[in-house]
Amino acid sequence: MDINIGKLDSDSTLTIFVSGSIDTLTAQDFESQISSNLNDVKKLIIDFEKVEYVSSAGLRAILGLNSTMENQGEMVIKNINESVRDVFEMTGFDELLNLE
Amino acid sequence: MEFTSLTVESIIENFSKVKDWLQAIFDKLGCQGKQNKQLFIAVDEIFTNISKYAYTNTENGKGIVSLKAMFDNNNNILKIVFKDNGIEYNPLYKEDPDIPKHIEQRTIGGLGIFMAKKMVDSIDYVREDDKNTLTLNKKMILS
Repeated sequence: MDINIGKLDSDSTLTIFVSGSIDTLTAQDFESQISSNLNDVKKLIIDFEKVEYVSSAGLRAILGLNSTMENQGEMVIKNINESVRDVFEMTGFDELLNLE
Repeated sequence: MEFTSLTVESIIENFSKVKDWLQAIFDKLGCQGKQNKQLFIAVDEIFTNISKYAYTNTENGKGIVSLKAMFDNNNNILKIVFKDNGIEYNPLYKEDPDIPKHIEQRTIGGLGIFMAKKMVDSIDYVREDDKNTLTLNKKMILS
């Protein structure tokens, strides 16, 4: 898994590009790398275009980030593939998350 | 027919070896796409569960996990069998989580096994020779 963190826009929006799988091996790193860049971020956009799949460890990490962002603004996940959508739908995360 | 196996210590880091092993099976069979991702997720959930909980009764919390893959050419069903010597535990007895409640409370317990079940056609569990033996069964489409 790789994470590419963009620059914080003037309107406090940060876009992060993730590639690979967010699984039991990578979820913690995914969460901690993103968490450490959330100072002053009001809108976090995570681009999942290159995310292959998410396991429950990944869901836990996403839930953590979403809770942080609920306190300071909003989080959007965009460009999810069919496999990720299936996981979000079967676990109710599609209702919890802001998906674009 | 068994065609490959893998034995590793039950630590999360070893999931990288399990992933490589599984990818090699997909390559050998000629399986691609969403079905592979579903099996990666199911295997992740089972391996993680064993790594976290099977050997909590031992001094260092670790033990051995062995995986075997079997493929039936007649019906294209791939079986992945996990064995561990840990605490007897049948995850299939666990009730599926109440999803709306989970979402409302922002909790996530129990989703792993639930997801594993959803990702394959069936899961079997037996306790034999003092081992937890769990089998994932999934019909694969070969390219």
